[in-house]
Amino acid sequence: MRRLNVLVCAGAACVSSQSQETRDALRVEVERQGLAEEVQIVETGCMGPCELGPVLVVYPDGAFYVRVKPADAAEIVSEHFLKGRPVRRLLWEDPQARRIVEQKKQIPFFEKQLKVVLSNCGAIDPENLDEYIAVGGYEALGRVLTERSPAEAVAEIEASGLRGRGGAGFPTGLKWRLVAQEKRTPKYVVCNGDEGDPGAFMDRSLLEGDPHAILEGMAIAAYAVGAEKGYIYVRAEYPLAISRLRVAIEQARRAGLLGTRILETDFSFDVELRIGAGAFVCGEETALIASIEGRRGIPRTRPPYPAARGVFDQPTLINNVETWGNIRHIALRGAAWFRTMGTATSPGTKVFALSGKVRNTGLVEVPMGTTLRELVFDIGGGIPDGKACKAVQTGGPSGGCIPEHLLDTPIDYESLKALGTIMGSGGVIVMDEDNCMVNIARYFLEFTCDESCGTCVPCRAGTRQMLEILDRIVEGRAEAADVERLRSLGETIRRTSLCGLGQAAPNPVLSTMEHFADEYRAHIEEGRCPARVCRSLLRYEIDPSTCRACDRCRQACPVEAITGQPGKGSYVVNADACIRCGRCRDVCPFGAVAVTSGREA
Amino acid sequence: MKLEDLRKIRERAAKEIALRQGDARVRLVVGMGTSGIAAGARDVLAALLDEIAKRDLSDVVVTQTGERGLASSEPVVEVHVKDDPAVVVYGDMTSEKARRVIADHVVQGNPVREFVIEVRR
Amino acid sequence: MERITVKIDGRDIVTSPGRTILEVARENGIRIPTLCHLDGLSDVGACRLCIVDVRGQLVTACTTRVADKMEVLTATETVQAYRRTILELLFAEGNHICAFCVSNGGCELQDLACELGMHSVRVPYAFPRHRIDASHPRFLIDRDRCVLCGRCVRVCAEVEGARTWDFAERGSHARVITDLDVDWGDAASCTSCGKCVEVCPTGAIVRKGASNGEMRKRPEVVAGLKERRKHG
Repeated sequence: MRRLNVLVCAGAACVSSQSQETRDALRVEVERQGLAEEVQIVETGCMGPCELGPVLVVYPDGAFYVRVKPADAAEIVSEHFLKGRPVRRLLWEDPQARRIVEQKKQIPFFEKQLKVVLSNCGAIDPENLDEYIAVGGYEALGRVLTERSPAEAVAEIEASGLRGRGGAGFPTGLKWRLVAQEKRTPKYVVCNGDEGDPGAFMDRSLLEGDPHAILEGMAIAAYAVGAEKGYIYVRAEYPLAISRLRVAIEQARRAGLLGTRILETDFSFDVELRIGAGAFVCGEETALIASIEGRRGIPRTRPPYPAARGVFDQPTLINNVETWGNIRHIALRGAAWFRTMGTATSPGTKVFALSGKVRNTGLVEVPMGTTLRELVFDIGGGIPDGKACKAVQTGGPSGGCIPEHLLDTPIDYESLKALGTIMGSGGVIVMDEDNCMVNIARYFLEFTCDESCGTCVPCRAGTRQMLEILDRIVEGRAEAADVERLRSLGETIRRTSLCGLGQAAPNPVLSTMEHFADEYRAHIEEGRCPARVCRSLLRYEIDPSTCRACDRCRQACPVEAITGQPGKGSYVVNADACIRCGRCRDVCPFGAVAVTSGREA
Repeated sequence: MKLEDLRKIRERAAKEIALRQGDARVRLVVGMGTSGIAAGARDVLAALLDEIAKRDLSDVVVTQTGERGLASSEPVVEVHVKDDPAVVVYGDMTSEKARRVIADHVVQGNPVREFVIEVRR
Repeated sequence: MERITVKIDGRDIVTSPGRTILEVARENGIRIPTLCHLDGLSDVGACRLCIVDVRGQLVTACTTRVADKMEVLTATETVQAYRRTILELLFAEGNHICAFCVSNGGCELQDLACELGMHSVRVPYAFPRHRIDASHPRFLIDRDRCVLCGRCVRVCAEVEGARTWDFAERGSHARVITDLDVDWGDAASCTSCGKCVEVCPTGAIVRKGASNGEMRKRPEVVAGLKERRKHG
């Protein structure tokens, strides 16, 4: 009988850190030490703390290993699996308490999380249908098909208060009702897996780690609204998610959980996978639908909404991956249970992809209402290297930046909107004192400008103009009037663009202009970048009192901008030739190279 | 496949992954330090696992630990029961004694006094 | 027939449901500027010049259907300001030099500039590099003057059926192409019907042989064709 279950994370981040080689090494060692009957090694989806990968958990102990290499396998097997002595040097250590944490559930990163949508990620093998069923998979579908009417299924989702997790937060139950009420057939259900926000990997992890949950959710919806066909649209940049979905679809079909007469009822439903082709705009529902239809992926004006006229002009229910991930839980445990989590207007949990200047980057799931501070500090582990938190960016290129003093805001759709940002799909980027907010705004605007579909004038031409103004600002060529130009253009684009991409594109700029006006002012009026990021505004200078004339900087400089003689006096940087790459500062052993910003007084 | 068939699969498969659920009613800890293994702890472990499988006990997990310091009484098996602060420590265990502990203590709730060497609170 | 009442610029107008704000406005002598719209072609709401204010929300009049009790404001100060900005963005995006253009005096973009009172362009010009494609025996396209309205694409697909014109790439790199981005003269699907010439609002797609200010077009032929096809 198996007495140990070893779960090896095979989320994309751990895979790229060679978790599969580690898994193979463990298997070989287990075999070699005669423990194959007792130890089961299972690959799971993303466990969350991507920074620490490859990670693995040993049950029933709950020991949480981090940064495991294939070379560690022999020791883990002989010391822990055989002798029961966990290898302490590989266990996660709490940096604050400086103690090794024995069990996964004691780790602060996991303590404050509430995994509902992600409950299976990191706990089961996503390519094993039996494991999905073992944890209650497809029970929800079974009950809905045999015990509830379509109308009751819709009512349950409406009562739950679930809101679209793709970013807009539209009431999911209402969307279901609108499609259910449409008389024309055929109807379609669509999964929006185009997750395009830079820094967002919630949907990816869910598709990779628990693909059957999506299939089950879509099947329940199809029954509820009267559809028999579904499309799962996944961006091409997610090959692991695509292959796991393909496996899951095949397994479900073979088991009679997808296709004709599911679970031997009168209900039939099947799905088709559609792959994106590298366009952020195809995350917009009408552009996504155009792409499914084989047309150019550009949005169209709404109304009509997809609920009335969607794929092939038919009534279509389109939801985001995480929204789909919630459905089977609500169907199984009820709307009342769902409402016990989160806030009154935003019930349930939300999955966030935490990245940036934070210790514990990775995937987290918390109840709505958790504050940003708890997310960044309690779960995220705070800012590394003793730096101060400056801002938190949410909503990707459609969102805004929240300054540090507003971090006690509880997270929900309305509160984030009031702060000038949006929930978005869940990307949260933490910034510290070394981030330049103007540069950040420019980064996001460059992204949306690049991804604009080009159909409407304000977005196509307007974002380009805004970007050029920001280029001027970060290069020290701006004038005072540029702030008003940015604001005015931003307003125009926001109010007149055809689709959400354009309407939200100015957000990062407008948000940072409001909360970090002093940084803009410094760039424009003083030619100074307070965070010392914008290269054109930086000056590298060698402090003559600290310089030891060791010659390292002159040798390191790629453009020969430093002059001096070894052992003689101080070295000097020629400001005109300097490209501000920072190599001299990196190599100087005495810290004699200073970076300053701002026009000479 | 009907819904009932799905449920049967669930029952079977749930046992396979029960180890990950974490909250067993009874946890047996086998001392697997060097002296324990030398004294035959691996056979005791195998017997425990076998007996658990035979009796289809889904609420019992078996873990091991390193040296406990009771070298002269190895192999040692501790019985931790949920919500009971007392830990019963059995010493000088053998395969047959292990099976008896399962039958009397784990299943019936009656510790096998003659094997007990310590009760920790 | 169902009748509904909509209020446009304070005027109560009785009409039937399912019609666009633009249609109803025009019928009642209310002028709303447009560019990508053309009678006889489907509406896409791309240029955003026909935006009107419906209870604070800005929507395109060409694609929005009227509903009972809808209140529309077609020319608030904000709307006019936005329209002007959009037009300026268009001028700055291309190389629209009227003095050298065959469509000088007969160009819808130029007419809009006059109508909206565009005295100057307050955003920097991009001066993009475009090549003239004069490979077709009778027509040519000068992309310096293209405003990406998509009328050529739509007329070629919806009226002629050849589908020669299409959009390629995206964002500020978007442009119209013939077939799989070949020279127009090599576009095998082109029937040389000339409809794209008639519907192009600027001097981008023109007949060869015209000199400065000599190019005049008849975009109304499309609506006429549509009418005749409906009835016969």
